[in-house]
Amino acid sequence: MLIKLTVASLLSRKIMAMLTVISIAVSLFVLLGVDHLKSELRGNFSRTVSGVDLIVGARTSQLNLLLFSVFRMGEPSNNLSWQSYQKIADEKGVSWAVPISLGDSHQGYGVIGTTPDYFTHFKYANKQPLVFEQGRAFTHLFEVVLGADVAKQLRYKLGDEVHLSHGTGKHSFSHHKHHPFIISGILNLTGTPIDQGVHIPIAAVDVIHQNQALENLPLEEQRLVSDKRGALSAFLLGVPNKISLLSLQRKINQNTDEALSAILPSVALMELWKIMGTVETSLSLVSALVLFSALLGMTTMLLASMREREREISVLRALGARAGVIIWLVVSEAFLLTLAACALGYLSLSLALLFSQSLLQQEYGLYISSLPLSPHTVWYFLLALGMAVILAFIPAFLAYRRSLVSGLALNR
Amino acid sequence: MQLAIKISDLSFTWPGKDGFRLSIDNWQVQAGKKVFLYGPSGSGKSTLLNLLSGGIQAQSGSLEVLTEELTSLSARQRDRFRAKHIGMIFQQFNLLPYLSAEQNIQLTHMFNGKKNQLDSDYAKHLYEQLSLSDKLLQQKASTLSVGQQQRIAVARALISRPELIIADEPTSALDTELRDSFVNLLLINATDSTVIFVSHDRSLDPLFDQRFDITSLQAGMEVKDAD
Repeated sequence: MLIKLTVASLLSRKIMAMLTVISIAVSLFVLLGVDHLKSELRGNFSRTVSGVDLIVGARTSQLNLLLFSVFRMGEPSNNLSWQSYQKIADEKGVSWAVPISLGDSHQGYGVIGTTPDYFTHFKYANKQPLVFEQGRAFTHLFEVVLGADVAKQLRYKLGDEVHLSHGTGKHSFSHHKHHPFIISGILNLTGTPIDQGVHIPIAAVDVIHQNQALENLPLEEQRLVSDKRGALSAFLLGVPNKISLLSLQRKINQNTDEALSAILPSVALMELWKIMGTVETSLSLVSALVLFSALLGMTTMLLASMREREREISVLRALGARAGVIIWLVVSEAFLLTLAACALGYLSLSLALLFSQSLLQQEYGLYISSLPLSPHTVWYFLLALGMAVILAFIPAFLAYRRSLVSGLALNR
Repeated sequence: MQLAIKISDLSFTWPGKDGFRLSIDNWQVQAGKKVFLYGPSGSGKSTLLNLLSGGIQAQSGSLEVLTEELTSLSARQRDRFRAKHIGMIFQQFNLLPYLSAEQNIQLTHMFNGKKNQLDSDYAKHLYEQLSLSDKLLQQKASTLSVGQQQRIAVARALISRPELIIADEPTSALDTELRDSFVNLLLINATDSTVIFVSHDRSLDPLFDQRFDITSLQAGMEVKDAD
């Protein structure tokens, strides 16, 4: 019954209550959003690469190499030569080597020149291999394998022709229009940047850049040749023996023919976490402060409303409400406002994620799952509710004190 | 005859250095009497009513209300005593605007600890007496006319059949016609209760059994620092 009184009283001050709820909801939206994105980003990054022991590229920072080769973020600073690739691929201890060549795009989706080995050796999440939803790996020069998203978004099916363009822009003007590629396979959804990839034979990258028509190539050239020379962006190595892995890394880094960098994906990821950690912490701190200030705002609002509610309070006191009831009314009001704000913040963040999911996936290759009602989220809600109740005791106690000192405040 | 109010050597001073002081040596009211209390503003009427209803605690002396010694009760016990035994009516009736008329009337039951014992027969009888229709009872208090508000206020004061009814200048905002009907409604329906009715409007006093001038109750009225 008392709670009914709180609700009725709050409803009589609708606009103030709504604004308070919105301001707390916005701060919870930011707090939960940052927290969710943080864990989702980590999940996204760590599930993207698995089973690759070394990544080798032209000399650059390990983060840059990791980001462009696996996450398709940023650009390779330099190419490396086919000779270096062959030399290292033949090293003792190397069980497999897969070259990749980046730089072209198809309707905004990155083109990856590689060899069919890519589909057998590249793993994601918990060493899960890539699986073909339809078709098979390319076996001819002008065949292409599409990531699940590319096929879905551009409505491609097996056997369709694909025209690739030079550069990575969505609206590139220099189309390689003489070389249509035939779709030989479509990969299963992985939840990694692979889904955004257009995979072609690495030999084809050279051919399309020479701007020759397919018809002009000798027939045997149209067959896929995996040892085709040309420029590479990076290559992935499988080195099963962990001891030879470190010595191989050192050897590559000290290579004298060509300046190269070899990185361990897990070590590079650690460096990424370290950088992200600072940003995450400051974002969390800012959003926590925003929440605190929103709750302080609510306390101010409650304090201000005490003056206009003086009459209401003295009526309740005269009807026999003990002073504790006054405290209860104020505190439960703060609790209800914050509870409504929790619900609103959660719902609006869920909706915002729902609507931005496909955009984030297409534009940034990020897979953000919808907001879970995890213990973590619930903990944030409890924190907000607890803080609201504690802060509400300030105006509540002042009202209580005043009602004790001034009696029933008759004739106010 | 039982006494509704028995005061001896009572003294109360409001906090603060210019605090008003009320002291009454001796005052008694018999149960069931309808008492008219008058006096100029600032003479201590509200202070006395506050003491009688247990809103404030006297610093010294004895104050028995309905044979209960209020000065020995804690604030919480006095709140419960008020909820159980006293019905109050205020100057502007002071209905909570966001509740319906009926909810306003039943507020008393929320605090007096016997909320499940709302005597529905008596409530029905009372509503009939005060001509409160169902439609009116469901209306928000903020939409009621002054005449309707006063009837709700009377109903609220009477619904739990309090032994003592305290009315603090309830007619000061009313015109003559409404004022007379209000006092009549109150007195007709409060036959079993003791009524303390405070007003500065002396034209009402023939309607009551007894009348007191508050200044004559004061043992030695003193206002500190009065220039």
